[in-house]
Amino acid sequence: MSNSLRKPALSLLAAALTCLGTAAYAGVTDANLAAEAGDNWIHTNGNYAGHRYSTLDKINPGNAGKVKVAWMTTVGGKTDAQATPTVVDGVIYFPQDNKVFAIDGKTGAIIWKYEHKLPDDWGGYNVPFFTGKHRGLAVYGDNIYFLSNDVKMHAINMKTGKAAFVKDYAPEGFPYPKDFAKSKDSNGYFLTVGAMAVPGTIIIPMNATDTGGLQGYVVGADPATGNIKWKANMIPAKGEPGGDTWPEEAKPYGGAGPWIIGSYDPETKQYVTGTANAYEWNPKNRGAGKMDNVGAASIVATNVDTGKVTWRWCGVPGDPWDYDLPQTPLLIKMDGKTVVAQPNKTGYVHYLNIKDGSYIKADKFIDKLTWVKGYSKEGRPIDMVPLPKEGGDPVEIWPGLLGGVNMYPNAYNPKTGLMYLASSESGMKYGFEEIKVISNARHFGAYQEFIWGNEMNRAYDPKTGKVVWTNDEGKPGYAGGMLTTAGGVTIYTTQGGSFRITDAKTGKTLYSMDTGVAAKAGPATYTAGGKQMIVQALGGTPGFGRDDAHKAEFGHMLIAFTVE
Amino acid sequence: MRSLVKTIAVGLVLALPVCQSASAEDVPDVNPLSGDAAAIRSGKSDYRAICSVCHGGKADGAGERASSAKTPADLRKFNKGFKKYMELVKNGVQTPGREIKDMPAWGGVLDDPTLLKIGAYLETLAMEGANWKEGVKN
Repeated sequence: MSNSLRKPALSLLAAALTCLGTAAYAGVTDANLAAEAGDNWIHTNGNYAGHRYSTLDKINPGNAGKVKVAWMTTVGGKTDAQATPTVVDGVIYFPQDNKVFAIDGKTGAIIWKYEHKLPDDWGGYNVPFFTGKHRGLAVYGDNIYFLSNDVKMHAINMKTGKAAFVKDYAPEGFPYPKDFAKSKDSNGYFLTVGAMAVPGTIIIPMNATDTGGLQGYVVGADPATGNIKWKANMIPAKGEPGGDTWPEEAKPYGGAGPWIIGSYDPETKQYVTGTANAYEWNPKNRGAGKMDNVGAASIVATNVDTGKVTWRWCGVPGDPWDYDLPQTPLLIKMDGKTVVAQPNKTGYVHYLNIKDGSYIKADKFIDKLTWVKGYSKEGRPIDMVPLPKEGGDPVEIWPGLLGGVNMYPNAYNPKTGLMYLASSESGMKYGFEEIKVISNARHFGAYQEFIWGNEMNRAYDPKTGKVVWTNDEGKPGYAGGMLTTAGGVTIYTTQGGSFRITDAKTGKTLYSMDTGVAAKAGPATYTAGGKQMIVQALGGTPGFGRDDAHKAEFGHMLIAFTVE
Repeated sequence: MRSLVKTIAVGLVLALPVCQSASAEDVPDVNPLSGDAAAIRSGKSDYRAICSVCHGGKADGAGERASSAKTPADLRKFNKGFKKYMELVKNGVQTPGREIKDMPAWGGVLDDPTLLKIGAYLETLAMEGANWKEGVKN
């Protein structure tokens, strides 16, 4: 596969190399994985660095106003559409409700459908919320790598839609969650996150946080078999740095799962991911907020050759607020060096050195932030709000646990030098309650009352630390996610379903269309039939903005745009 | 008056076809713990610890973890009566086409006294139009 369409000569060469026993693939190659997004959109977040940036420029501020709908289709989704579509050689691959669809990127016609049925005893704490959601796919060689909710990886041939293999990780220490009325132990891992392909390895983020708290891992799997090559523990074991920041007995159910796709730095061969909150939300069993719980609400780097964690940096020590830091870290150049820049729930963008995870700075990007007064030079929160008393009155903090940004992906444009944030201004009242244990699954022991604020889509300058422009969308929620291009446009769809193409430098809306369907996914761009296309998956109901501002009912569709 | 309502409600239930709820006729027409201060305190704690994740801290349906396929009920406006409350909580709610019940069946893991206490608390949040006293209306 070339950067545009697959060239037969290259395929033949790759096939010949395969016959010779080398590691070459006939389809998506290591070189393809390392390329910037252009005609194809191979990685869920566009490239290794999580930029969600495309080199395509046919759609630009000069013609964005002339964009038209190219096609619409539906995959009949029954819950949120959270995946950014993956595009290879003009074919879109899209996961929804434990199915994968191949869709003609030019016409919207469905080429094939792959279906997986969840087990009969599937269920458990919070599991209805997660069921059917998927946030991406990996592609490598001739296969799509799809993670079904029940901890299986499906290697699906891109051409045929047939599984080359299905690897079940339940027998290898990663059980799926079970219906609590049918099982004495309903704890389990659930996969809503997508996989990521790096040379020779498929990365699988293993998360069980919030379905009982089994601890999180990043798993490296063999692309040919799905067999586990290594597994990296997000919570440090005894003797590892940070291992003494937990009571030992709290670790097995300490959460810290990676639930959003991370980024990869080919130079240091590190996979860098954010991690979920420490579990339970009520911190009384894990140090009562007085122990840092390193590895949870953290950014963690893993060497993909060895599977060893190279460093962990904790952004919310003792995380009592469900401020997990799952967001995709953006790897950007600053002063010639690669740094990790993560916009996250806390309302800050945190910067770390990629080599050792040492702290650089934190830039505030939301207007109202009360949970803390700032970060110290050492990277620790200053004067955090005192914790509520269990069973007592809740405390009000901003942002709420939905965060300054949530799971909806952000973007970085190396041409403008700006970061684009799917942010929101919202708060919460938050309190602690007794931690219930049902079918051996520990519940949160916490509750919240949301205080809604508006969706604020922003451009922010990493160099100055200042917000450059803000689009106040007037209603609660988050945009589905950001896309930015070499053409100088930044594209997103509001939670209420208004598709927008904006000027990347100014935020001015160049084109908009109200689709009427909630957006929970970021758009992607690609080439089909010689045209630049933009595809946006829509699906769900506006929420976490389940308030009076949005009147939309549940809907589901994929829609593509182009210019003539 | 209360006994008259109760008698009528029982009569209505007996007149209905056998519903899916296990032993619906064993459920009283009104919550026997309605208005009980200790039960309400306990129910509030249980509600916050178990139910609020989907139905929201204010019971307004604005919880973080509700499925998008089935917007959770605003329990302040619950108008289906106490018997229906017990049936829904015990058996759960299936959204057509979904792979899982969006409202789980709690009957297997939460006992009746817990459900009664949670119901007693929710009654204290009732807004205009709510109904916890009559039999099944819908």
